[in-house]
Amino acid sequence: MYDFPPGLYTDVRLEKVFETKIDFVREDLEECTIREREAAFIRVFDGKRWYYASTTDPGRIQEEIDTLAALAGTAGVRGTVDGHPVVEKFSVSTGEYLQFTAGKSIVSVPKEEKIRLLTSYFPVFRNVPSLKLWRASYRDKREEKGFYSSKGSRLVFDVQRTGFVFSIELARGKRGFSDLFEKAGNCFSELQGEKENLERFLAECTEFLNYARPVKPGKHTVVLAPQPAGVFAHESFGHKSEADFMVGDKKMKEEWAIGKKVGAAILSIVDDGSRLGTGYVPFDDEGTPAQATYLVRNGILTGRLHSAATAATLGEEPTGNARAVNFEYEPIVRMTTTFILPGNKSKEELLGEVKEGILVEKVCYGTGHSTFTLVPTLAYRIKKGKNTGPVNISAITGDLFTTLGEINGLSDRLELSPGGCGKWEQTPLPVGFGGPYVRVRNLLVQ
Amino acid sequence: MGAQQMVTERYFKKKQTITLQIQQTALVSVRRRELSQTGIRVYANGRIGVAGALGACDEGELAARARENLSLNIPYPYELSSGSMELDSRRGEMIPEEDLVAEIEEFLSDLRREQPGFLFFNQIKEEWSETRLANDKGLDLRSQNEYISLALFFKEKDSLNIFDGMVGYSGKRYDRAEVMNLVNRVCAAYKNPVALKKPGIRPVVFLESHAPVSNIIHELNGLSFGAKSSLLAKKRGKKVFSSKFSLAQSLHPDDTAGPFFDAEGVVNEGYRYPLIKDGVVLCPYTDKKTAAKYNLPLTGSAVAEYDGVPGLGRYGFKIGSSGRTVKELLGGEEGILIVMTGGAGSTPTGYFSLPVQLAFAFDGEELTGRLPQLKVSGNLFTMFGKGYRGVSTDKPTPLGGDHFFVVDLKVEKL
Repeated sequence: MYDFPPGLYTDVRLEKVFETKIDFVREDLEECTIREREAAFIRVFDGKRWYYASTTDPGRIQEEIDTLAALAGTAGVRGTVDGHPVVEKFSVSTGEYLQFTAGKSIVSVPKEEKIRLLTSYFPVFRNVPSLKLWRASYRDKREEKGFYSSKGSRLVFDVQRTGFVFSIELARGKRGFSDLFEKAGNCFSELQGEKENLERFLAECTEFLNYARPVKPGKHTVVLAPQPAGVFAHESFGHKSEADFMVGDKKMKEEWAIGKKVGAAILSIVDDGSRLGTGYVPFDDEGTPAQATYLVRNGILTGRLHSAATAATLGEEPTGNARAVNFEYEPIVRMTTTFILPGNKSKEELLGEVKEGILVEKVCYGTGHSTFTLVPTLAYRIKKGKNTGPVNISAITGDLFTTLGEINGLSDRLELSPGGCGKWEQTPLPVGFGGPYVRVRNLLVQ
Repeated sequence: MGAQQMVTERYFKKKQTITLQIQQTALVSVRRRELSQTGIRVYANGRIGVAGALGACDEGELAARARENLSLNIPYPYELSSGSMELDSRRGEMIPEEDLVAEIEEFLSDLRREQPGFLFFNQIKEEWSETRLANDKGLDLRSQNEYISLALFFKEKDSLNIFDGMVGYSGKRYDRAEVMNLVNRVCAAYKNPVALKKPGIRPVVFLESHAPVSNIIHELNGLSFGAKSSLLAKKRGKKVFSSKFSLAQSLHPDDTAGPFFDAEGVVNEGYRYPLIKDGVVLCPYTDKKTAAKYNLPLTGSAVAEYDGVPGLGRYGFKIGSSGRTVKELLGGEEGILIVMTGGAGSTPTGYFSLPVQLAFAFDGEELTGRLPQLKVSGNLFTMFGKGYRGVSTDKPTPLGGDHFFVVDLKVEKL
């Protein structure tokens, strides 16, 4: 296959991609692009430093390997890579794991059918008072990845995502409101049957435009619906679980010792790349198989997310979380599908126990680390367990560890949402996130 | 465009990037990337067809595919741009490619010696780019550009945070002593915790590139403006903001590392187009379609992927300078310089809040200390109305393009 230079670790990630992009502004077709490409990312490790290159010409892969090997040679550490702890951690994966083929492949769905799907929802948007502008976008992508390493990996697998987004802008007098409706999955067939959900969403947005009142700023009990709960789990705890943040950092390693209590006893958080959905990746971008990693189990820190390099440095095992956004980048530690495990209350019980608080149904984004922020779009005031109307909230903020200890209720049903994640320069990476309805005390609402 | 007349247009982009990854104040990887993209657009009978490819490609085959894609019936009945212009914005003041690794290793060695209490990570990147848009109606625009981006996150060695702060710049020049001076000033201030002297309405200072103008820019989208969903749609020609506030869409080489023309080949006079002037809303930003549909001025704000149809997008923006230094804008008051935030949020009524994780006390010349975590809030229209102070003439570092942006906002401890 390739002539891997002796004394160095080398791997090649070959990506064959098919993708579709269809955009409408109202009912006017603005774009319909089908893109097919083949490209590769090459890594060489000399035991001290990594050397990377990417190419859009698969015929030049060997040339790129040789160029990187020559650069690695200049560091003067050639010959030391065998037995290196990082190299020891690389999986040797072989075989062909293609599941989005034939009728399951979005390649087999004609573009006309994709346009038909999108336009089938257009009647929902006609005659909606206050709806000034709406856009519809369809996206799909099937990637067939080959992974070949000097350690012996000979692997081919595929991933596929498909979905649509409707973005709406409502206005009435001096009030305006905008939001998105998203649906995504692995196969085209999953995108059908959303008419009623879309109608309900438009009704909620219209109610919000007409009746939302400013929230009373301060600390409130907040019930996060599955989508905000997932964003919270991803932004606040998920990123802190990415082990590249701990490499070479003794203090962080001590603070994040496995077995430490980090949250309420009812809280468990999992990252699982083997779960179908938008975060599904059966192998990561250095050939490690996906797995379910418990980050928190019953409030106790039980795991973190690794690449081979971070696992070697921290003396743990790779978890299948080394991911690259595309062929232009090296894999770094990323999440896949991250979620809070459900509890034992019904949603009605969970809300019914709230004397006064806020229900956050949807957020447009969140940010994380030690202090996290959620920016809600749809939120409601709760009084004596009842929804008493929409409220305008600019941001919900909290300290991560304090907040994890303030979780005091979980509903009994897990729901996952599609999402995108940005880390450093690599954005957006498809992920999934979710949870049940999660009740948290003392969140700062503004 | 006359019936049956077919015009072919070529959109070519090329980028060469070298990225050095830093961990624990040491160089851990070197990434070299050279990427070219070619798109062929065909215009006929008021329609557009596009096809594109990465890397070396057969442009005849792309043109054939673009002609096939005319059958998608995507309308494009607009006058095509013409004219020829070449602009080379490279200055040759970055680190030569062959010296980059050695220079950064020396810089990191200095950094370890000068700031032993901190760990630094993230990346240093140099990029050279070329964009060319040409058609057989006489359009030929060519832009060459370059930039260096130094973006370092730092943390104290005994900190429990993933990172405590960030320092860096993006520009067309590198000077090790200047970079070290910037890092040392930030680290010195970080090591000196100070209290928030006086909560309440205070002058808050942002780097110009992080100025909280995104809500205003959102309202200046030509489509939203034309469809009347923008809060500014009925304000055209009216004074809405402070007379000190002006905002232009900009592809000026001083403001962007991209080409001086948009994806439809529009070149503005002085590379900028005024959208708000002295507080008066002049127009939203538009591409040809939006301008034609809503009878708005064409501001040259079309974006396109190499293989995509040009459509309305967003480029850089330039806030008009106040003609005063940041010290003058502060007027003797202590400024709150925002470095790291937890993401801004706003409500449909314009209330705006910003959790601030790192801010420095700032007298207009020196960073005098690290403030506690803060909550900054206000109303968007007040912020750009009576609370607006202006953009400074001076910069945090002579290496980058950023100036200081100063507004009055409510500041409290988080």
